[in-house]
Amino acid sequence: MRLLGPILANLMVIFAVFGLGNLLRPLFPKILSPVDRLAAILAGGIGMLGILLFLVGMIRFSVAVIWAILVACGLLAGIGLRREGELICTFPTARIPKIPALVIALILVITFIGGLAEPVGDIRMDAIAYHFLGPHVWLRDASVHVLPDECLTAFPASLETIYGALTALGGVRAPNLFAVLSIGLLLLVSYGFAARLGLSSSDAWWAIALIATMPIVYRGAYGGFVDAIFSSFLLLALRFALDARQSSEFALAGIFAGFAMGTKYTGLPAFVLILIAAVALGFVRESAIRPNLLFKLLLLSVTALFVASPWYLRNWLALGSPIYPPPPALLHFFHVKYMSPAAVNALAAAVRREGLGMGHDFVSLLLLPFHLTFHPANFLNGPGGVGIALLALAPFGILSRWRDPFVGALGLFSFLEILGWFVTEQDARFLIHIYILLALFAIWGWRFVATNSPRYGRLLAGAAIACSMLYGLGIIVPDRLPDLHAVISRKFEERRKTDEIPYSESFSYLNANAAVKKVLVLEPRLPTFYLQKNYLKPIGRFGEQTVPEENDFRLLHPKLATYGITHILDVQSENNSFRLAPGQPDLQLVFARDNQRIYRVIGAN
Amino acid sequence: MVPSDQRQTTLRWIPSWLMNIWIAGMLVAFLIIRVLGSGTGQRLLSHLGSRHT
Repeated sequence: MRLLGPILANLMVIFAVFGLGNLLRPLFPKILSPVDRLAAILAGGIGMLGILLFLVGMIRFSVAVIWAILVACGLLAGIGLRREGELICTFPTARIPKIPALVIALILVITFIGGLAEPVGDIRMDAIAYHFLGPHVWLRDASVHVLPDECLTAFPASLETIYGALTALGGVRAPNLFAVLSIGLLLLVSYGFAARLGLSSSDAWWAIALIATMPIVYRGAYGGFVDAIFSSFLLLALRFALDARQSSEFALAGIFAGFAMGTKYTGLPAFVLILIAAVALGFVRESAIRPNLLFKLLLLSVTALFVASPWYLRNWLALGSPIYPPPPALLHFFHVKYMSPAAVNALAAAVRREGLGMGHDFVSLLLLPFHLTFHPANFLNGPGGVGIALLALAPFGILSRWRDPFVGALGLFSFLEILGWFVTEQDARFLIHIYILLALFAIWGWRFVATNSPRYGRLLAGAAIACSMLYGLGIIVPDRLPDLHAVISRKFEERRKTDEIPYSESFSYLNANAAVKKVLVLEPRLPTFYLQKNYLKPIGRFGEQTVPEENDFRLLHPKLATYGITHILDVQSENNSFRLAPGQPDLQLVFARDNQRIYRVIGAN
Repeated sequence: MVPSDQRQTTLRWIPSWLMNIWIAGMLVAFLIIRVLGSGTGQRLLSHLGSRHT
């Protein structure tokens, strides 16, 4: 049952996603392959479900409400299946090359089994720090609301609201299993893009096998990361925007751009770049920028902004700035809650420091392809890299297709995207959609080299593809082994929880004790994801200040009853010693370990 | 959706030997830096009796 719940919850969500996604069908271009239709339906459904859960969840985010939403959307799936069934049956399954199919199957099986593992880890893991924390707290409070102590939960949260629904239905493992849909959707979108670029079905299979085995791409698809879905939204928006002719198709591109902006802030600049690429392509095709195109791009923009608006309006109204935590420049225009200007600047400085990569100078820009290929671990979230095929083969693929204006527009988008990434935060995950485009061109390059140098070129290019895929598998499989082991062995799972969840004994005590109503957490970096009780963290890990007393216990002490605190969790971390001296009045030490102490507030309850 | 003329290649001016050298160079560099230079590569070399560090 511990594994069945997450599986059923994900199936339920997939049905709901499919049902909602069907509502977009009237906007689809008339000629769209079955793979593209399925990708657009699934991606559209994910985006719409995220927004729906968010809008309803701000009013009520209970298990009953989530069930009602999913069942209603699931009913729509029945109608969609009847209409799309025939198309899905025409999927290109006739000549599937065996090796890439086996590689993809291996990746999906590992993702499926590994996705059934319970999340563990400390607060350095984004999933524990905020991707899963928000849904956890929203469910406990039956409301999607701001978490003042963790500013990153204010990021646009299309996927996190779905994680909340999954947790409600299938427990804490269920959001991890969503990775199967994440990577599956990304591969579907990539396959469609490959076909659009003129690759044959067989080559498209090789392309998505290459993509699936890129460690950075794969890393963005599991463990709560939203990057794979974000890149799926972005690639669909880009492709539909560049190919659009009818107003409905521009609106469709706008919807996916809006979903991207509702998933990550990096969707904002990417949206602008999509517009630039579309204008450039229109200019090349028509030798002029026609007012008709500008009008349709305006429609795209309005649609995108409308779709993304719930997240940004909520932040503006609840936190004082549409983008929260704000970049320092926005402090001139917005007065934000819970974070002082010093905290905002410190966070921005930390982002700049962590996103330094291998430098921001011009030489580093020229060497970027080599740095990302040979030294990926020097980039945030870069370990494992993208293999050698992109650097070895994509240049030939790009050059051989350069005369296609569509490819030129993709090149412009990619160049500007890389440039923006390079001068801001060099987090390797943020370029997943670019690696995907490069992988498609790498396959083009492979074919080109094999044609023009049938003897050695074919051999070398094949070796580059094989080397990339084997290397990627060599990184990905060992990375997931602990998850696979935890699913198979309960004993190992328990040991892993004890080893990898910081202060796990305290969490066990607090979660099991019915007298615990609300916990005062004094350590800013304590991962409250594991705490199943209501809590108050006066200072967050980025200096978020949730109460005026901050972490000063002399000021907090008289307010404990006001805040409804029944217990205090005081821990010793790497950087901080215990904050409470023994013998505090009105506090009774009820639990103690080497680095953990829990006090009961005498007279509380 | 893709007109066939878009699939024509335009790289006639790149000699095949140059392409081969580029790919081979990248492949060798990758094998040395990422594979043999990695922990797994080091262990493999150590297992094979190499003194590579």
